[in-house]
Amino acid sequence: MTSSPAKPAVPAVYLAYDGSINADWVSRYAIRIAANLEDRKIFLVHIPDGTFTPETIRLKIQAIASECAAHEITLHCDQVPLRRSVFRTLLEAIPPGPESICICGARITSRRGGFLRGTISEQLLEARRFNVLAIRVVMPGLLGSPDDLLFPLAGHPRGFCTAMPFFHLLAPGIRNLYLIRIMLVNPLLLRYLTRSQYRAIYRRGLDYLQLVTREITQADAEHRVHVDARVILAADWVREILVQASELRTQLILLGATEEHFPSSLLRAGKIEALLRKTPCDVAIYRKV
Amino acid sequence: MNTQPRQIQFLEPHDVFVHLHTREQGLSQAEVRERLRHIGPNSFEVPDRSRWLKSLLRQFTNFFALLLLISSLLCGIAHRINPGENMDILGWAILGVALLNALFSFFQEYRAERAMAALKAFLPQTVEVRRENGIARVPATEVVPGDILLLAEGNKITADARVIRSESLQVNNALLTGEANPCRLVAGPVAGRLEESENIAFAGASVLRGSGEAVVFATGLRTEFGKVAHLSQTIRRTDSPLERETSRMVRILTVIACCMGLVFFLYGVVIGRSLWVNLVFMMGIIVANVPEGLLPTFTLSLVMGSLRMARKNVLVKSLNAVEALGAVHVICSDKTGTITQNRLHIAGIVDPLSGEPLSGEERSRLLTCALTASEVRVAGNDYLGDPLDREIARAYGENREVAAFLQTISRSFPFDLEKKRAAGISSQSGQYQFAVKGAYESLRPMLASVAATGGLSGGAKGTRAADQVALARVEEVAAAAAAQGHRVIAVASRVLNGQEVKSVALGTEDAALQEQLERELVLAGLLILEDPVRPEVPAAVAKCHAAGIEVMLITGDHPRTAWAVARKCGIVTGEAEGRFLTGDILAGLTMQGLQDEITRGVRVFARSTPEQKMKIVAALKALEKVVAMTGDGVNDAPALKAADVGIAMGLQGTDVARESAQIILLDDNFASIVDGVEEGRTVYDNIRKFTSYVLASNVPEMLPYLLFILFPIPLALGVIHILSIDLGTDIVPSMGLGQEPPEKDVMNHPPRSEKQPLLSHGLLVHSYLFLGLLEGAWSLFLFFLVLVGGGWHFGMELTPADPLHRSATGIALASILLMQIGNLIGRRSHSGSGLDRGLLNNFLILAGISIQVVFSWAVLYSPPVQKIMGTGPVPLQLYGLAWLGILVIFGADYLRKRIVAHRQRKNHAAQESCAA
Repeated sequence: MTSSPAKPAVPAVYLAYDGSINADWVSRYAIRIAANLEDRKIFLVHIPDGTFTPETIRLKIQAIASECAAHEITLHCDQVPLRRSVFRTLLEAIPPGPESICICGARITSRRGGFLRGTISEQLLEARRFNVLAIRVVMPGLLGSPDDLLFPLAGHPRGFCTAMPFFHLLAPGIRNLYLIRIMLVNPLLLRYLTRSQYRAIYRRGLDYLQLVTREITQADAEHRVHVDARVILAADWVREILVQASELRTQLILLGATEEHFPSSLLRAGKIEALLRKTPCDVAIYRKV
Repeated sequence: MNTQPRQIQFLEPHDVFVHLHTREQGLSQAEVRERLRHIGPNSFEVPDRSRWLKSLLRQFTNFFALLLLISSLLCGIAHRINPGENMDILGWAILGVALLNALFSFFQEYRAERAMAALKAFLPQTVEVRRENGIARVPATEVVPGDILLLAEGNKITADARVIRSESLQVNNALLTGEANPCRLVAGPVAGRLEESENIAFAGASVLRGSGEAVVFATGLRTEFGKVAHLSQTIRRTDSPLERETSRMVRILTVIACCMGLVFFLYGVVIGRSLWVNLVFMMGIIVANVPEGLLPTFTLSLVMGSLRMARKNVLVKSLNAVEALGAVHVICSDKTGTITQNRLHIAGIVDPLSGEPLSGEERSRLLTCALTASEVRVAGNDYLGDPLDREIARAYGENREVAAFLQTISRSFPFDLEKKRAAGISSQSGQYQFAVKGAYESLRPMLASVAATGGLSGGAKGTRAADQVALARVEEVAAAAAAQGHRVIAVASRVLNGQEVKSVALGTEDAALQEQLERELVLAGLLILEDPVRPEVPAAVAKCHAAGIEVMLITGDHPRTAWAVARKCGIVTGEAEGRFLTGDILAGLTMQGLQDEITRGVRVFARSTPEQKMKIVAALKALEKVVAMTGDGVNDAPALKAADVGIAMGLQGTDVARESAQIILLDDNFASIVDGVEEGRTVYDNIRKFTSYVLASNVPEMLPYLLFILFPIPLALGVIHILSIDLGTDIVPSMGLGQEPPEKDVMNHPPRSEKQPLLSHGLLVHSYLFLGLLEGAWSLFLFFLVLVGGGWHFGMELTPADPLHRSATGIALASILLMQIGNLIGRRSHSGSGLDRGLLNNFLILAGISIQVVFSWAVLYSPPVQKIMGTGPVPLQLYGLAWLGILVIFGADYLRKRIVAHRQRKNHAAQESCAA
């Protein structure tokens, strides 16, 4: 666990825009994030692939531009011609490194596809070239400004440091931050845990959350977000996240992409897909380089 | 600094279209398709295709089910090895028990689906939307963000939507807030949290009045209603204390059985017995150790407990809740209707300055004014209208004719939620009087004077100017009444002048006329109203406290009202400071913070929302408390499911609450919950009694196998004999013990601790090493008495078909059956003999004893039973010795109880002398 990492100097927000309705809604997140940065800039990257007519794209980008203007944000629009693939073209268009934050959408692109699985966003997350935030918007009425954030923690040994840059981006609008640590227990053993075993696992989770809470409050002294932390022993983490999101009425779930390798990553990807499908609020999947 | 609107509620109506990527003409079909594909249908069901299969399979993965299935399998194997013993029939019987239990549990989970069906009733099938510049009626499931909903009186709202046009729109949000008061919806921007905004129409609400348009921004499970629906479907109740205890017990017994079976299997292999013989004996030991009949008897006991609860107005939907209610540490109760009677009662009519009760003419005058400002109709001997207006009419009607007075009311100005007051005009003897009744703070600016019978007016009757001193005094009187948990209604009036009477006669529009008349009023007095505490509740709360159960009051009412009610019924004592939490404070508390507050002694939650019940349940559970939670509204459903025991109100509860709860209170009365707790504790006590009873017979069943393996002696009992006890003769007596009435001190001790499990060390020692050994020793003594009397000597081999062996087996079985009668009587009381509880008052105990007597005789002397059981007759003198076993076990156990009681008394006396 590291102590409060410093904010990145000047993060540059890149909006990977495909012209879909989800991308329009995701652009709000980009605008809100950029509005809280010093240089107030968004680099919109669009790769025309024939899904939408140029006229439709022009009108949509115009709408984003006017909204950016209302927020005193400069929009740099870059329509890059499609080369080998949309993914490759995006990799070439967005500068690599931790200063770049790519905001993209998580949406169904084909009939049998997933919200993340098999999408360009998934490839961007896996490419690990720059920081990526893939967002599925299901509550466009939030206008990209969620009040309450649910942050499920997987018990990363480095604590909150991988999530911290993304938390900093969203923190200015957040009122309540709910940290939940789901301690996974085998479903067959869960009901047979003795009280002392239960307490020991719970204690472990609570200790971890206390460390993370301290880390956040030190790093976020400026905004003073109200932080609540919960430990849950469960066999199915997706189900628990969904229950907590409904119960706490959170407006955004912020979840780290897997850092595991095959086959664990495959299993987790399936779980994330289920979460994206059933979510009661917006979901953002992040990966820090 | 970013000053732009944060969320949809902050926007001007014309900006809503842009921000939701829609337009005044509505979405196009292509846009609807795209959004439908991305967001999904506007459905409130959690999609899970295999949920029924998963639910069914889950019923077979608990230890109990696994044990029964293994037992059944063992019977099948035993039948293959030795087909003559009818083990296949027993195997099928055990399998049947396993299936029945699983299906029963499955059915319990199926109820969650019924809760969803009840939820669906609040949603429309089709809705009117504006699309492609026209109005279309579309299925509600096809509504997407950006759709423009057309709202009209009587409509149900199907998605969360931002209002962009409101023509006096009023909706009923009771589904989400639990408050039935109409809510006004506006089209303008509102600064505040989304879920509290007046410009948001929420799914599940219904339009009471007016019309309007709203743009959808959240559908399905993403709506506020959808979140309630999601929780109602997804939250799985944690295992009840009894389920946890049962799991633990079955686990221990299984481990004991399997270990012993394995040890003796290996021993057999070492001494060179054949594999098949070893296998049969291993199964014998396992079957002897497993109390096959115990767990079905648990179920039967719970069923009987639920029937007894039903007679006390506690309807049990989930059997485990019967015992769970007995284990609760905390009961979280609603106020209105559960603790109180849910009716308004005029507790006082007082002078506004002195607070003294009004009488005579002043009282009559105030009631006349109050009735003028009421809207009631006479229906036979009763009145129709608002509860407050009805109560005023009743008070007025004590001395005068209500119907005649109602004829004199020429105009009524209905209660306005915003203004918090109602008004009316009556005319008597050519004089027109305008009267207003409502919250004091809403009347205060219109007052010119205050009627006074004493106090500040210096003892003279009349009025005095409504100056700062007088108004402050009135406020003190009102605050004192509110501190007692009363609702205060101020009543004021004035006589109309000629010009005003003309306005009335001309039929001036209501709002304008009311505004014109609401001035220069004379405050006539204050009506003090209360919702009386149910008379039986204070005693029930005291009973809870004596039983170590905490009672918490959770209400949406004002803290003062909540605190006063909590004090009246004994939930709290002493001063209020810091002992209650309001919803606002609760919302800001972390989970740990809330746990600290509860530990510090907070017992009252005022101005709280139904959603916060979930947080309270979670905090209590984190403190390792077993929680019972009451609820009646749709939004109470998640908390009812999250609690260990969810209790819904039968009279005023919604279908959703009833379907989500495990227990329904038929009379909504808190006292009935306490009756249920008593019954639950009795059920647990009885389960302990019959567990001890059943386990005792395991030892005499198992000992013959141990001796057979260790020594060259015949086997006293076969598997069929063991199962005839476990699944035959022990069942009815166990049911009888399950029917025992409560012990006198059942509500005088704290809830049982998890450190005192059902299968405690003491119970195991008593059942196995005392009762069991006694039964084993006596039955084996008789077994060998018959063998030796018949010419058998140590080391001599006997086949099971040998008549001598059959007779010895018969007497061993008969003696166990008879000794279980002595055991049964002893188990009826912890400290008494058992006979002191009367033998004739429990039919099942009598029936159980009869079965054991008849069967003990039949195995020895009835040829058909002898043939099935492989037993033979013995001389009657030996059968008489078997009867003596009843006295042996009963007497020895009674002696033990006396010694224990004597020691306890001695210890108690020593402790007292130490304390002195």
